[in-house]
Amino acid sequence: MQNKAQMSSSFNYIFAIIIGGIIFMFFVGFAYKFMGFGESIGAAGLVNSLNDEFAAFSASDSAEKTLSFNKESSFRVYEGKVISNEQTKQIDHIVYAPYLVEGREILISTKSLELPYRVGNVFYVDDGNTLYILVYDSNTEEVVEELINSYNSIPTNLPKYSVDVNDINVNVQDLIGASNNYDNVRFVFFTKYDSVLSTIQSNFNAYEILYVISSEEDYSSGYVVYPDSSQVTYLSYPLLIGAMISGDAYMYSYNYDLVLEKVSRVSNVYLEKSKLLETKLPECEYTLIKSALSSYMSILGNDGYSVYVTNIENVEEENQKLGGDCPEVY
Amino acid sequence: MMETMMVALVFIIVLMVGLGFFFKFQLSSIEEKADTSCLLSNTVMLSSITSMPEIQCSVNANREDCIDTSKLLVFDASRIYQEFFNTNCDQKVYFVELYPSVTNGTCTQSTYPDCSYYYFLKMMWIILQKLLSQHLFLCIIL
Repeated sequence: MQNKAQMSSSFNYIFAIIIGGIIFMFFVGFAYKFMGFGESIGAAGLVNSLNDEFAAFSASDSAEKTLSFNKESSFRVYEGKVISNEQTKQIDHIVYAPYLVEGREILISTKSLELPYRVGNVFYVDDGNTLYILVYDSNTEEVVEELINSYNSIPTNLPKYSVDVNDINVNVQDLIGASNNYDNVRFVFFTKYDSVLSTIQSNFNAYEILYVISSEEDYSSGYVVYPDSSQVTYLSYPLLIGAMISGDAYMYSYNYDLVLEKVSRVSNVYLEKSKLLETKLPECEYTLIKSALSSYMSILGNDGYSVYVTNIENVEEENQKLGGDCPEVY
Repeated sequence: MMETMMVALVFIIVLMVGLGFFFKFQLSSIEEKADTSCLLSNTVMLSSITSMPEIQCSVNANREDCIDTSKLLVFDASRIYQEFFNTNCDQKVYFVELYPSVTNGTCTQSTYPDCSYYYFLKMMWIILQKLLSQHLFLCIIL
């Protein structure tokens, strides 16, 4: 009888331990899930706030802003999505960013993109950890000056520095001093860099070299060669700046395709508008602008930049011929 | 033995009821946040939509502060333009010409410009569309 009571008591302890263990595990699991849920909500908030900033910025031709967070944030902008803590949100905007953006302060800026009419805004997101060093020679000095100081310039909130290629070997200490506060250095060469490559290799640990090629005098369109030798096309300064900031050629190319989609969408609006104007104003000649727009739309997707330059000039020329009683298409 | 089981059962019931209440409040708080987020997104969209190149006026490539109604006709009122929206809310945008007032309803290529209603964009987010219904009514004086 006593033996049976002892067994019952032991069974009670085992039962209590099992139930207690289950409840404890339940609470631990719940707390763990809830922490993850809280992080997801925070990430969704970050993504939403970025998205709203982009939408608000899209009304402006050129704007800059620094977003401050109360804790260290990190996210990626990849394939049209902002990804933070496994929280992903699709964005319709064209956003150029390094591979990973991290820090308490995020720099965002925008530029209007005109090809030749406005097709929308491109956005730049950066964490300020990379110094962009633009290197020029006597032929490209004005181009770099334009990129540093004009209305078309690289956003002022992005860390940048310009230097003559001939000064790199002579005054490399100045460059090292300028790049001291940055984690990475990205050289953007508007000239050949063979003569300074060894100096860069021996003085910089974390660096990348981008090479800009163009037959246009003002470098308004051309190619950018990335460190992995991938070559991408750019069609205006806002896209060149995008290529400078983008983590790699793929990240740039994804956005470049979005740009071409936008060009196609807006061009279609203008083509339809020119058809409507032609119907409503039969005395006006809209055939040439229609044909220029159709031709422009048909070449979207071509690899080279010169075919774009030719078509953009053609559309501009035909639009300028209109006016007065025959309204311009754009 | 029986008492232990009863205590465990009552504890689990109380726990379940507590969690039920917790989740209910949590859900309503999230819904409220989603509602506020929708309202904010709608306001942002309202302030930025007039600068979309697809509808904004321009003269010789220079932007003007107005809506080009001839561009609005390009959009198909029956189509859902998901690509223009990145919010999680059910939204609809249409333009009404207030002055000079014209009584002919919806604008089409044949009725333009003697018409007043331009149905522009529509987006439906299927999951929350009943929960969060926001309609934008954008009046532009032309």
